[in-house]
Amino acid sequence: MVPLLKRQLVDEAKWIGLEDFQQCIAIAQSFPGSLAVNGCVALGHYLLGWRGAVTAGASVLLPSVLVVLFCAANLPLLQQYRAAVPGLKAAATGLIALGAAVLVAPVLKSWGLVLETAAWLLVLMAFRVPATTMIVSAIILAFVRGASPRRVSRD
Amino acid sequence: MDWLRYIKIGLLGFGGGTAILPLVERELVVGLHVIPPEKFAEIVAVCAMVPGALAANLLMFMGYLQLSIPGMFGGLVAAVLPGAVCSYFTARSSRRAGPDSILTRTLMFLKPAVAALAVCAAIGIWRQSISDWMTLVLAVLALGALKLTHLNPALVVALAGSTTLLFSYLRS
Repeated sequence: MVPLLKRQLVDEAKWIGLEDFQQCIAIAQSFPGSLAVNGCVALGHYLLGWRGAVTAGASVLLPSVLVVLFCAANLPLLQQYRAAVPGLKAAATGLIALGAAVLVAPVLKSWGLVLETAAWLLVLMAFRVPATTMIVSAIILAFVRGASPRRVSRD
Repeated sequence: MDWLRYIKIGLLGFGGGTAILPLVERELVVGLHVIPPEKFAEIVAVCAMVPGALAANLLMFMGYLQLSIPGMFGGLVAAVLPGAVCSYFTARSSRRAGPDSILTRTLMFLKPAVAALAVCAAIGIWRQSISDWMTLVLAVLALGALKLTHLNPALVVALAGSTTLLFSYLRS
């Protein structure tokens, strides 16, 4: 979705500059929920204040609402296409694997980060800590590290 | 209260659609039994194919399954509102979140955990989806198509679904 947004807003309509666009996306990534919605809210705010934020957010959600309503209302009809499900699941696996790769890539920069990621993975999969507990502890740890004063490098 | 679980997801779902999957599975599939575990991968696939954000679609769908239309909007609001509100206020207050701000640094330190969640989700979906050579081939092709071409992800998923649909048609 981000490349699409960039193409529409930065390149074609020229409503926002690249740096400001990236800043909005960075904000969107910082918070939970949907990147698409957060991003559109931030971008909408940039363009038109709170009215822009609300409009952009609602707009990006509208197709989803309509399609979910359609699927839910037509479940018997869609059941006829059950044979498509294995293919859908396979493709979704590819999609999610790609998403995972995108999130893993920044972490491969140093062995320390790799080990840390592996440790969290162990916590999730081997020790079977519930995802909620894991995320809350990760947030607390990250905040403690983020808020602590930076170490001054010695000469 | 059920809503608490949706709000939990809305508040803790860092890293976007992929990373929230383990959270959704734990809270809604295992916890609330909204759908049986075998169906989870299927619902995720449908939500990935549908336009819009995976996270929003998924939680709307789950909400609908629990409580029809009000449930759908409830799921949507719980999932999307916390992050959106935070984004709005951050966008309003600081044109620039500096590289040394607490927020930026916290996010940076969160990356390994988010990466682990994403990998966990990928493994989980893999286990549920890849059962024979065809699904494996389709998954690999889908990954290739997504990475190397500019095809819309929804289209890629739809094509894969059409392939198995076609095969099952030809077989009968």
